[in-house]
Amino acid sequence: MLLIIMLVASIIVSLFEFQKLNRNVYGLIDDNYKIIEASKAMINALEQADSATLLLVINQEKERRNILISSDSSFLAGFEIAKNIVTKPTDKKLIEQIEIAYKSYQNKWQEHEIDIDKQANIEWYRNDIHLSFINTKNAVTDLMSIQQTSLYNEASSLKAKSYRAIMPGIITLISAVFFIVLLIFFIFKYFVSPLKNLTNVVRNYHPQDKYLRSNLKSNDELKKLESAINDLLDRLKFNKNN
Amino acid sequence: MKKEIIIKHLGYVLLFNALFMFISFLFSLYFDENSALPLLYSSLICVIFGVFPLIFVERTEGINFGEGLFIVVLGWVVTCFAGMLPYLLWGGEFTFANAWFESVSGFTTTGSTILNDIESLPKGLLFWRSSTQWIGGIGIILFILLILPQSKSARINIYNTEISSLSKLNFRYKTKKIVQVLIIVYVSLTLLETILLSLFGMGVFDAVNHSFATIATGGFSTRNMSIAAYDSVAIEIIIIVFMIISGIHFGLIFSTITFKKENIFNSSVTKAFLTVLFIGVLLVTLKLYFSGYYNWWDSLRYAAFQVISVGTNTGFATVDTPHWPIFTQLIIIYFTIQCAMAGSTSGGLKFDRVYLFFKLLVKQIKLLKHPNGVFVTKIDGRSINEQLEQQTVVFIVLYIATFFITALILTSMDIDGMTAFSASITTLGNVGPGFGGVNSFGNFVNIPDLGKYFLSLNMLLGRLEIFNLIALLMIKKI
Repeated sequence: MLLIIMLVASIIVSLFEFQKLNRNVYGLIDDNYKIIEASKAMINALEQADSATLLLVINQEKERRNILISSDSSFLAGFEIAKNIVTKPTDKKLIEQIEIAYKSYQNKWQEHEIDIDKQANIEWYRNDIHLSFINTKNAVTDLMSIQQTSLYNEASSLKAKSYRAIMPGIITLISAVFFIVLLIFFIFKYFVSPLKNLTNVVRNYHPQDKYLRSNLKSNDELKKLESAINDLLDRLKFNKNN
Repeated sequence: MKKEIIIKHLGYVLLFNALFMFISFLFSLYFDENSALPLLYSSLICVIFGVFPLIFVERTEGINFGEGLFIVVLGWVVTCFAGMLPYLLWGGEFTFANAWFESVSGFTTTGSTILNDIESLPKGLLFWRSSTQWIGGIGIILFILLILPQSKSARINIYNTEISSLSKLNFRYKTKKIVQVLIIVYVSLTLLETILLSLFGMGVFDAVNHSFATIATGGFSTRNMSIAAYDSVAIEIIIIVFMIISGIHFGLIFSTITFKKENIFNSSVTKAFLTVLFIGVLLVTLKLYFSGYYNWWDSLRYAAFQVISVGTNTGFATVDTPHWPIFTQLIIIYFTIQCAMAGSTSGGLKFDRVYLFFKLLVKQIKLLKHPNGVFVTKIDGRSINEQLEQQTVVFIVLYIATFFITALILTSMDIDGMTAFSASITTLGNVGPGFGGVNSFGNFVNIPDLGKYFLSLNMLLGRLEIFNLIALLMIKKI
């Protein structure tokens, strides 16, 4: 009964810890990892847009337009994913900063479509639009760094939780082994050994002996068995005499 | 020898541990920590193993000396194993070797730790850690003796193994009364210190934990920087006072409080102990001041705390000592070897043996001058028999041999000399901090696992006063 209690308790504790582990794994995959992937997509899109802006400086207008359209849609797709997943206030603030920075960057290369003075103007690229690109990229990188740190911390926490889920089982197994050894000891001490002793005494009984003397000290059913056998011997002797 | 009787008493030991694990679980539950389930499950395992023998084994009428010896020694070992369970189940920095080391360090009131970040431990586990020291301080066996209705012979045989012969010199009562005296003094001092620490700025939780560790002369703090974290002279003074009291024979403390004739003011051993402590503090203060380490008051403050902490086997720290002058380090090492008085919660060599040893030296010098003279060693008017004199000398030799062998084993694992030496002596003396890699604010985590097992054995040898473990190994049949 005690062994069953120990085993059941161990199962409950392990199940509880595994459930917590499960929730953490979902959190890790659904939240942190997806945001990191979305941030990488946004950074790629920004790099593309920056390359497209350089094409304008070297008068490659048609190619620039195509690349800008593609990079813009990639960036916005990544941004939407990140925006929908974040829940923490600090992360939401970062999302707002990214949105503001990107809008400012977007305005600059959209303005440029009208303003042909900016063509072949490397100074304008370096001091204006490229800086805007850097700001936007830094904001996205910050978001990604925070998610990576959070991912690492979550993974470390998972390691600790999985240990806590497994250990009760291991401890129970070892305890069960000790318990069984103890049980065998007590069964041998209080049941098997007295029975063997009684059996030997019965086997070695000589008719000239008055009673069985098994030296049983306990006051249990085995002692009663010894008494019952002695009573039987008494009755047999009485019947024989009569 | 009745094995079932031994197993039954070990069961009681486990039940007692289960009680404190459950209390720790309640702390964890209150603070909503992840150590709640490990503590509860550990408690359950202890209850199961504690209750199980009671189903089979009947009430004991008598226990012989051999059975008493097994109960005491195995009681300590089993309690250390049980004490590991919450650590193992919680995880973190606790590998098997680390959990065993921390558990043994707690129960033997050594206070050495493997933790890099004590403050990251949940409060439930911190309370369990401190509880192991409190239980170990008085000796779990004494608690059992108090609680259980034992026969007189059973009580005497267990008591005689648990309490050293030196400690019995200042007890004038029957065994049962002695047990009661010890427990009363122990619990009262713990309560008093908790109240005082709380009043002077330590939070209640920290006050309870530090009181447990002070009265047990253990030294487990709830802070990484030990008592230095509080930076409070008032707290340091309170702890100094209680460390000194805890390093004195509890029977003498009880006699003093109850206005008996034989008290701490009349005891030559106590006076000698306090004098040696005072000299140690003075020497270290002077050296620190004249070497330009601190101003006068800071020198006194740090010297007093560190010397008394080590001299009473506690092991708390208010400053890191490895950069102190070597003269002061050697004085602290001396106190690590000497330890506090017999009959206190201190382990190790015990001051009484050192005192007796010097008396024997004087006797030997007298014998050299008067070879045919008959000289009797006396302490406070009481003659010391030759058996006790021989035991003392043999114990000191065994003690030195043990710490030397352990230091040798540690150096074979490529641990530097100072670390090996101080780790060996501090664990054997149940003090806690050493020098080198195991200094006051350091830990034992970088010691190889095999080294930790040897140091754990050292701690047990120190707490069980070596002879009990050796006697156990020499019992021919079970």
